[in-house]
Amino acid sequence: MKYHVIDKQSYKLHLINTNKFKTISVKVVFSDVVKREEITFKNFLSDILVFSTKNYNTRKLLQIKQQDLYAMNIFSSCYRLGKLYNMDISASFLNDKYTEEGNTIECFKLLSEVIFNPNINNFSFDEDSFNIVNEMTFNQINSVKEDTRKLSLIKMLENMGNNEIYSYHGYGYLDDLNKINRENLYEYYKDVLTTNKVDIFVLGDIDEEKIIEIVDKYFKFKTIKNKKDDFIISHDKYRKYSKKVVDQANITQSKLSIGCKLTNLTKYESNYVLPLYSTILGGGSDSKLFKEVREANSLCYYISSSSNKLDNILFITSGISYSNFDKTIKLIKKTIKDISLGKYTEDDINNSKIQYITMLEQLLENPFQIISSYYSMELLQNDDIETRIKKINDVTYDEIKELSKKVHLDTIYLLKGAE
Amino acid sequence: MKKITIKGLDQTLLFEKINGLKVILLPYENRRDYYVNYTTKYGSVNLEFMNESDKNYYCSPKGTAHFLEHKMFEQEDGVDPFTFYSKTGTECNAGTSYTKTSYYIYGLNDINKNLNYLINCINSPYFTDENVEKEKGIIIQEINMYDDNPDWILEEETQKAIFKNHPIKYDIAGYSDTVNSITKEDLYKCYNAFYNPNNMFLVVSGKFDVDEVVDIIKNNEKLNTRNANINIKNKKIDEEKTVVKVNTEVFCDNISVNKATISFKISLDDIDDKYEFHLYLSAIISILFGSGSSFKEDMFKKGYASYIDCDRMFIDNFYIVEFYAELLNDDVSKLKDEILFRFKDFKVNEEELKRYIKVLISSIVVGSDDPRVFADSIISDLINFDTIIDNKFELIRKINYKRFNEIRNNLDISNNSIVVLKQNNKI
Repeated sequence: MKYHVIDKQSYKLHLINTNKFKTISVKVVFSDVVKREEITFKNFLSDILVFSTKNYNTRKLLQIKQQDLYAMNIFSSCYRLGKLYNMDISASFLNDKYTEEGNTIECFKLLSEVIFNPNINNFSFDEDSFNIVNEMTFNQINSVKEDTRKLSLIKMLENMGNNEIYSYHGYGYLDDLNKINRENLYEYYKDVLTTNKVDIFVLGDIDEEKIIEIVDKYFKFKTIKNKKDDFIISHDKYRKYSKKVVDQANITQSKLSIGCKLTNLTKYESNYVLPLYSTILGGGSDSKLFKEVREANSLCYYISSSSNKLDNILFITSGISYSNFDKTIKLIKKTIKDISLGKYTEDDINNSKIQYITMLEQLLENPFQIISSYYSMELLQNDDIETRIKKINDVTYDEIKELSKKVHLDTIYLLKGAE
Repeated sequence: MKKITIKGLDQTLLFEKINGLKVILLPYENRRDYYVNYTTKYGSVNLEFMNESDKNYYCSPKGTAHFLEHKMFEQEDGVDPFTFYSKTGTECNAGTSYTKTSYYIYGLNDINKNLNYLINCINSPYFTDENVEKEKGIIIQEINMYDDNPDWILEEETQKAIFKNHPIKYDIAGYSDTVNSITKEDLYKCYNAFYNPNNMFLVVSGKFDVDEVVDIIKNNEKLNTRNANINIKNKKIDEEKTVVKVNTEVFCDNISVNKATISFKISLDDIDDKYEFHLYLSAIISILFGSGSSFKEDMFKKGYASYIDCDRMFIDNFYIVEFYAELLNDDVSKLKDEILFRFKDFKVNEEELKRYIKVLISSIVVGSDDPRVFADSIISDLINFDTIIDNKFELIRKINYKRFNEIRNNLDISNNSIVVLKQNNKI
């Protein structure tokens, strides 16, 4: 795998050359500082751009065009990374080897059409497309009600710190959706294209010269370069006695979410010690929480922990019976405490290391995960995968114990089910 | 081993029966990862069965297949597979559906050791009163978790509305009372019946050494000392061709939008070639209702539904086509009329069928890049058609307009059922 970056001033072009896949994968990342009121706008925009374009002005026409290009796939997504909110417009299509000469260039042209030639009439988005995407967005925002596990997590974060950036979520907000119309969405689109930081990734068995030429020709951004922002969220306060909130819901199973704040982690700790700590605590079926809460006490079907190093928060989630709430909390607290007392073995550490390293190596088997890992290198100035593997192997027992002192159980939230 | 080259994919497939077990190998050159899937043709619907020598059918409690899935990872030496696999960073998991139970591992390291361990695990059950009892609390929490999922509730209600006698109408995991009634004797009985090598497949795909993997399977003592001469007879289910209920309304507390399924129950009694039927019906559905059609946009503009999806399923001698819709209008009959109209009277030209063939071939090529996707497609063919379809591309290229129209015109879509899931307004 060969990688290099070309700084084109208005965007960076990242070329990843590998013959591992039959497809070529392209991702265009638009990145900006998150503002709560823009999340819904950006979600809406990302959906409407891939819905129809000026020349293919219904979903059907755009889809048929994609099918003609040997089932070219175009998709978009939005997500928050610490203090940033990103929009990705991505595409994947078969290499010319499996289709016909010239298919690749046609695919780039269509992706360019999606980004630069949206379905605009009279300075506003096409009405039919707008109405459909509006309904889709409305349903997406509401759908959180049905995912009670996710809902519990969102409520926990809101209870941890209302209006804090870490409580912003990607479903979007109804009050913001009501403000979106065809005109201001177009204004927002122009704003994104000129102010967001842009990275373009192209991965596959590619002729680099040719790709540079194609991208040059069809992707003309006039981005005003962003200043470099600090996008990692840090906490200067945490609760000495954790906050406990129980909300009623008409559900069968109670959904438990626990949030711990992480304070004063060094970059090394965030990147290398935290993932091991989190894996040992609740990273999988071999973790302390799984063994204690599920296997030894039969209290749940799922329990896991995960960490977000950009938000500096560690989460624990589980589904339990309400009658077991207190018992479960006690066991979770005990498990966390045990780790801080050093009750874990070299075996636990080695297993978590190999799990983490395998996860890193598996990233290399999926085109879009390879792209994400290069993006995080670009964004966070992260080490490359080989260096990461080496450094994670060197993490010690004491470093994990040291980190455990920086984990503060802050908020316990229960979406209460049947008694 | 029998070697089959899949044309158009640069992909080799090797096949051999080892002590009754169907073994399929899909070696990849340029990957580092591997995937192993060990599947038994035993799912939640296989409730009543007998051995050849038995006089009567044995009726197992609902949820036994799923319970077994949970217990297969229990080992006599006390080391559980999760701990074993975590030492090499290998993922392991299992799943139970209506018609199969699968165990799989996915990783990068030590395939030989890991494969051998999986074969040992599946061929040496260890059930005790105590470990069976312990699992009940966990499974009941799993059932509770699904009970809070509206899409799951809608799916369960849909099966109940379609099938009168078929056990597909029961929850895959069973119910609190049936799960609580399950004993270690039930588990052994079902294990011995359905986990015999004759009833199972083992697919290995990705990066591995073919000779070494074959050696491991051939030399695994636990597998090769199993009795391969067991033939299980599943009780034949006398299912009616018509649906149970044409219209059903169900209420639920935590839904965000009213939704519905519109299902078509199609009998395969008069179909000679199930695979051909599946190919053409998939083409019909995709062209009429898929993303290259105007169906979804039209239904939105007419104010019927904001989102529609379509799924298909084989179950015994039935083919079920199920539309899932998020509703803009609670009167679903109009949406159903639109679907009926399109099935029968909507114009499809030959060019659309040709485009469909091109797209289908492209998507199979893309899918073959991932050893997991490719292995799973082989397993699904084995479950649905009882064979490895090695000439798929040839069959797809043979799809033609004349036969398309024949199958479309003969399609009996008169047996259908609507289930609507509505927000519960009763306080």
